Amino acid sequence: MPTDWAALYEAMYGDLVRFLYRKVWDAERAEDLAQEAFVRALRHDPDNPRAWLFTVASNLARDEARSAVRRRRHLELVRAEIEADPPAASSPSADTERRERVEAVRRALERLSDRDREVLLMWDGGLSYTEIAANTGLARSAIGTTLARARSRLVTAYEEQERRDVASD
Amino acid sequence: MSHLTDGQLHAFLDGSVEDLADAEPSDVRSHVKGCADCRARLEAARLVRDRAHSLLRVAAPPSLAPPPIQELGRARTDRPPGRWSFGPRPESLAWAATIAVALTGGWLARGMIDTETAGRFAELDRVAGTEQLAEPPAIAKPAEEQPTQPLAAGEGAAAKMARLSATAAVPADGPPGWAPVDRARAETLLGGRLRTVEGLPILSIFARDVEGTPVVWTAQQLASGHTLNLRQSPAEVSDAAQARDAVRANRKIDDAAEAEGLAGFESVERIHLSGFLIEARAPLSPDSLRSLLSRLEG
Ligand SMILES: [Zn+2]
Repeated sequence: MPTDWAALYEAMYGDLVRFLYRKVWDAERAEDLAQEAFVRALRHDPDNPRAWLFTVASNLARDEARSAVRRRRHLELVRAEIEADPPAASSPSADTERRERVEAVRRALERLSDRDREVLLMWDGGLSYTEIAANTGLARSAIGTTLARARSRLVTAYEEQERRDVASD
Repeated sequence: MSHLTDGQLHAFLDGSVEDLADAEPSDVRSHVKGCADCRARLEAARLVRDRAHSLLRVAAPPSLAPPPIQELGRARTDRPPGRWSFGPRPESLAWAATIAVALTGGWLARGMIDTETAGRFAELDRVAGTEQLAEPPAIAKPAEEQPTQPLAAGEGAAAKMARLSATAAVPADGPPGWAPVDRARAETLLGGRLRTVEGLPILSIFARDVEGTPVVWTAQQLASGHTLNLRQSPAEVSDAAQARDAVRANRKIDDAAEAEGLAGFESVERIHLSGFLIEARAPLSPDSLRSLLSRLEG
């Protein structure tokens, strides 16, 4: 049966952008990469488009991390994010607070191993254990264990940071 | 069975025990039921799990409204209002074409639009920007094109715009692969009337041949100064309802653009009319574009 790409696009776009955002930390870039992942999936017409999209997105994000494009665009991003925020929510303190929280989650995620982070983000992106196993090459029985460890480390790393921040205030 | 592992507890919470390869789902479920220790561990695991995912939700980008699927592959900087397809990167065009194939493929699955016609526009985009016509048809001066019907009394602004259109920017040679033509030549190529929106100045008419199928691209100037792009190609559609459904399927996607305030976005409509498929793009709300298309004449 042919893939209903319009429906899949609507259903998965947000998940894929979030997945990418947590890798490139640039909202606009995450959207661009998500769109590129869809474009590639459409060309390739894979059997399991959902899992395939995440694999491609992952590769794109990895390439992106090496690329100078991201650095060049970073200032544009910051500006665009400020403009995108609705006026009511963009009071300096609310804005700063949001940024700090995002930054804290980012640092906590960086404390995870690459594999744990990948599995966690794929689950959060809506992939099943079986799809995650197929994408990462892990055994199906290892996904639950990996998720248990990844979640626990994320929470611990975040809370350690909070404690340090409170102590340094 | 022995106590559940952390992995099995998380799989249980995730509703994924069916995916466990190291335990029978029924064994896991019955153990949770019968073991107070594991139930306590399960609640602890649930707190960790929920906390982790609420942290991830903090790390989400501000806006997630998807752009219209037709816009995929076009970098933001390539999306100025009113300038569809005039000189975007060839790679972008190829991307957009892939989306067009897939999108219409989706309609196809629902029996809404015929493959052949969908493929024509896709093929058109695939080669656009990379090929030149071997023998360009006779070149007209597009800026001299005028609406073929007299303007109605209420259309003074459009008439004024028509006079001003002599100074409107028109690409001298057209995009690569497209040849400028006049209306008569376009109609000869199409084998029928060229459809344009009554009362809007014609900025340019281009044509190209895609594997024996003519496609004519007409740019008309809107009162706002933006451009309405029409592409017309012969198409056989037996059921008029199919065309309406295709337009309706498009609407949902366009609404996402509308929700984003339309800045930098264009609406796209495809309609079947008297044996032709017409694709229209303009930086307008979907409703405005549809109402414009009700004025298609020719
Ligand atoms: Zn137990």
